[in-house]
Order: sequence, then structure tokens, then C-alpha cells
Amino acid sequence: MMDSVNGLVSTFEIFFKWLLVLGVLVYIAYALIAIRQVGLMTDSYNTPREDFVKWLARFNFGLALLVLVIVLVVL
Amino acid sequence: MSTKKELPIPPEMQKGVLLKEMTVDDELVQNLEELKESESLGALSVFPQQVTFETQEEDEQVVLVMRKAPVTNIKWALIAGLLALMPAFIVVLGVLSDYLDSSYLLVAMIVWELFVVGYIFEEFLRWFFNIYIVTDRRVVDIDYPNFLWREVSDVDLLKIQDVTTRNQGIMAAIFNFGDIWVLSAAEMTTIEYLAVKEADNVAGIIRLLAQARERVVRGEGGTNDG
Repeated sequence: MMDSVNGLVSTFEIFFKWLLVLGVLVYIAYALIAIRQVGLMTDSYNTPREDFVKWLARFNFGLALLVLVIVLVVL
Repeated sequence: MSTKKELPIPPEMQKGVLLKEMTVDDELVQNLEELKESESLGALSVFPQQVTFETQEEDEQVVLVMRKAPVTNIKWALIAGLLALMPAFIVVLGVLSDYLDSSYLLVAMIVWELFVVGYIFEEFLRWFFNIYIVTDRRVVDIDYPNFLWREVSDVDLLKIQDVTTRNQGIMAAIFNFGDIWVLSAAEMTTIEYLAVKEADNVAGIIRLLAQARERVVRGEGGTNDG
């Protein structure tokens, strides 16, 4: 009985781990597209503080990479 | 009666031949000066520097650049705050701790917070890139509903049929913002400026600019730029 419960928990953990990895990968794809879109928008429309927005988009991507590393290292 | 007045444009920025030659009346200058006093963090700029856009003509002068009033961001900021606190509730309630190791829970919380950052980022971009521009020739509305969709519409000042404003709600009354609809006569296009600061004043400026442009085109006020 205990073995089957442990097995279930272990399967759930593996599923959860890959779910997290997949989630972060999807987020990284989004962050890359966002960098591209911000670039296109700032090329078309120059407004003050657009450098900050470009920086924000890159920061978002960097953060996603960092989280991916954390997920892979910790789990 | 219209009289030639000085517009509050810094000399180094005066490139709009049309606007410089316009017979500008007192009311327009006064409205622009009043609006200049209410300029705020990216949400309203009168004769802004460094602002250009894709389809801008060489001698076209940007008069106003607006975004939604910053206070309209409170809604998503509150949602983001609640979402950011959710993992803490889950830990306190101990919902998943029976099924998952603490390291898994920690990483899940980090991934969750990453998605919250993504939500904040997306909402900020939506605010930042939804830009309303008024030039000496037209009104431009740049919509950015999400990161995959962009829509740009503009109406020539000469084709404006009606400018309507609406201020509704407690927030709008307290923070003085409202919606403006600019209806075009020719293509039946409507430009929507939502939640802009000093909506009545901005609508007045659009009307006066349209009148001034009409006078210029009719040859009553300087250059005859068709």
C-alpha cells in the first residue's frame, strides 16, 4: 500500500517537474517574441523612455533564463 | 476673430510649416498652455521632444502625445499584487505540501512569480504602446492590445465631423480623465482616445486645430497646403 502511494507521489513529482520546465520554456519563447515586438514598436514610434522598455524586455528574458537554470538545477 | 499668436513650441522643435503658418487663435494657444501645465509621466505631452512615428510627414508637427491616465493601471497592479501573494497563501494553508517535496514547492513558487512578472510586463507594454497622437494634420490612434497585434488608424483634421467626450465614473471625476471619440466624415472611421487626461481640453484643441487647418487649406491663414 505504502509503495503504491510513494510511486504515485514520485510520478506526480516527475510530471510536476516537466510541467514547470515546459512552462518556463513557453515563457522564454514569449520573452523572445516580446523583445522582437518591442524592437519593432520602438523602430516605428519613437517616444521618450523607450530605452527603458527595451531594457525591460531583455531583463524579462534574462529572468526567464535564470528561472530555467534554477528549475533544472534544483529539481 | 482669429489673431496670429505665438504657440508654446520651443524654437528648436518648430518644424511644422503648417502649424507655424496657421492663423492660430487665442483659445487654442490658451488651451495648449493649460494642457502643458498638466503634463504628466508619459501620459500627456504637449509638443513633445523625440516623438516621431512611422507615417509622419517631414514637416508634420506633433502637437500632443497621450496615453491612458496612469491611474488606470491600478486595476492590473492590484491583480498582480494578489497573484504575487498567492503562493504565500498556498504555503500557509499547506495545500500541496503533502504531495510535493519542499524543493518542488519552492521552484513552483519561483515559476509562478515569473509568470506574474510576465503579466506585469505585458500590461505595462499595453499601456506604454497604446499611444494617441495629435499632429497639425491628423489624429492618430496606435492600439496595442497584445504583443502579437498592432493597429494604427488616423483621421485627417479636415475630415473630422464630430468630436465627442465622455467623463464617467468616480475615478474619472477625481483624476480628471475621460474618453474622446473623433468621428471622420469620409470613411466613417472613429478614433477612440480612452481615459486621457484633460479630455475636454484635448477635444477642444482637436476642434480648434481642425478649424485652423481648414482655414489654411482655404488659403485664409498662411500656406496653402492641400
